[in-house]
Amino acid sequence: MANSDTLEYRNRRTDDAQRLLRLALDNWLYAATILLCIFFAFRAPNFLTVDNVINTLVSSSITGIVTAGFTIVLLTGTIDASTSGITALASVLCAVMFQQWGVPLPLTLLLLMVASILMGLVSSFLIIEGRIYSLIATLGSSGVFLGLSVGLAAGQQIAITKPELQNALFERPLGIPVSIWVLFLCYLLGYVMLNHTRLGAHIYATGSNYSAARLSGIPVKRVIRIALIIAATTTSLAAVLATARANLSLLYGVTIGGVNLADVFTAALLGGISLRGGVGKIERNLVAVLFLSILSNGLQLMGTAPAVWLVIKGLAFVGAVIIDAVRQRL
Amino acid sequence: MLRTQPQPLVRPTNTPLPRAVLKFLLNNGLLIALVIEIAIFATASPEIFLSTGNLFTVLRISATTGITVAFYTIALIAGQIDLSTAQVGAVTAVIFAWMFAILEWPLELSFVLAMAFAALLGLINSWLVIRVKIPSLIATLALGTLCYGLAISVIQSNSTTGLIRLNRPPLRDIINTEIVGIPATVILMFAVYTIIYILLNHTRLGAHLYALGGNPQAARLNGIQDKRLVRFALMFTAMSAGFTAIMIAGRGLSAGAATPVGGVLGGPLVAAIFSGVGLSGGSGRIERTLIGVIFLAVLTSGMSILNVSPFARSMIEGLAFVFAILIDSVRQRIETR
Repeated sequence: MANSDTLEYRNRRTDDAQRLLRLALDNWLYAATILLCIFFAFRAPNFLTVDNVINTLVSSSITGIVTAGFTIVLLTGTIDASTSGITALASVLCAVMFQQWGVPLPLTLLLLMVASILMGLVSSFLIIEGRIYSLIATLGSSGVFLGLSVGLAAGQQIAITKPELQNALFERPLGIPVSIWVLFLCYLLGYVMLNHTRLGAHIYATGSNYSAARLSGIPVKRVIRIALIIAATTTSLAAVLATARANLSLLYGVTIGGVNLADVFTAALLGGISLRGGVGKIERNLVAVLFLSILSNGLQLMGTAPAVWLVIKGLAFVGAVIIDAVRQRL
Repeated sequence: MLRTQPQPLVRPTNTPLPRAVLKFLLNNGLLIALVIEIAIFATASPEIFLSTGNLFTVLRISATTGITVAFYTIALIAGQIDLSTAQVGAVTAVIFAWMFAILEWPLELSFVLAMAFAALLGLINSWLVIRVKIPSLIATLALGTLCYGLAISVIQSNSTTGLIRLNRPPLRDIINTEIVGIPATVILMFAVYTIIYILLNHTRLGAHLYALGGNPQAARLNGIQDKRLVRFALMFTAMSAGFTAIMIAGRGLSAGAATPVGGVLGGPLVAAIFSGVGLSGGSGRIERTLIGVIFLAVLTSGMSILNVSPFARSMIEGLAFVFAILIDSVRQRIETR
């Protein structure tokens, strides 16, 4: 009697401990973000001003938009490393079409969307038809895109002198800058798509068990192809925003506003997207992106050296990876 | 599976000829491509490309990247992908430069400490992989980000130009030493490849590395010391990356945190994949890696002799890489059939 009681008690206790740990792992990011805001509100001058809040959001928008697409690809169990290639090619295409060929802005954006679909198709062709491991295939396609972009730009940055592009970026519908609208729209669409459509269910199914999904009639290849096209589109969108802000094409996608693959990985892992696919919530990713952006902004306002931020970013990445590993084992 | 191609006990005598030819072409494709490549550049510019000076240039370029790629091949065979080599190299070179040029410590001491630091970074990588059980790909990407931050902070607290000058005399002379008219680095590269060839093909350690990469579960159940092998592979990759970065810094007389740029195909991962080392572990041949490294070096030097525009250059490199991975995937499919 007593024996079984203690056993039950012990079981319940480990259950409780596990549940608490899981609760902590699922929600620590929200708590950390709030604590960070409170800390900076007291310690960093001008942190809680409207301008600064908007600045923080704007600076997180580019990485955030890329991360949205990247997350969807990760959820299918695929890793897309073509971010820098797509960024460079989309940015150069935008500059060449809009500035040098004089294509009107709406048509430029439309053509860019077509181009990103093609870029997504190239990567998915290598992964699906070539049966190459996704990370390597996308590294390869990224190389081709980089080469094309350097060629189109003749090896230099193209300055944009026509004002429409930057003017469009500086518009503020309802007082909120365009890039923030785009950021939230991306996550809203992603949220609805993942949680309330058949495609979303297919994406989770493909990522959590590829063979089972295929055997139950889910068109896994098409799902992966669509995910890669979505990622290419969001990446191009981010590239256009970065190009508009700098009024320059981004050579190699690493100059101002360029997107670093490690940043995108950090945000996705901090947001709890599993690298093995099928696990994760896109809205938590948005919080992760904001968390990183707030951290960067607050440290800047406190006057720390930029190098400190780089070290902290590295630590955040390592920490996110360890947390992901701990979560896997629960 | 101890080797790339498991040999059947009785070789089927009636292999259809076209398939045998196809197999031969796929297995030796890189060598054939190298010959074609040399022929193209030699006809395009016979007097410069075929000179001894250019031969040494090609070998020197190969030696710079080749040593890291050699150890990288070991890591890939053991099933580990290391994405931190560029950043580990950068931080090692920067710390070496800090000790050697700013603190003015003796060359040997700075070098040994810097290499020990690189080994420590490799150890952290393997700790993340073995203990925390994170896939090596992600663990190293994370540590790489941290290393990049460290490199930048050391530079920024010691210099305003983003580079640490390295103009103390003995270093460059040592790097440019020639033995019987051949650069020491080239001799070192060939020595490294020979040793690794013997290690992979004629020692128990080599067999264990192939076994671990080919099937980790089976290897562990057969009593192979998987943790020790992973640690070995990642530590040596990190140390070779550090060594190469110190060499590059010494030759250029300054150490910075910019990743050593070599076009699209700069990183050792890409060079190894290009040479047909499988990503999933357990396959890959070190002699093929050497051919791949030389192929890329010939490409670099040939294109700069022919004055190929940077546009065409990165296009050619990117296409060559895509072509190489496609061929590799075809080969794997034929082998497993």
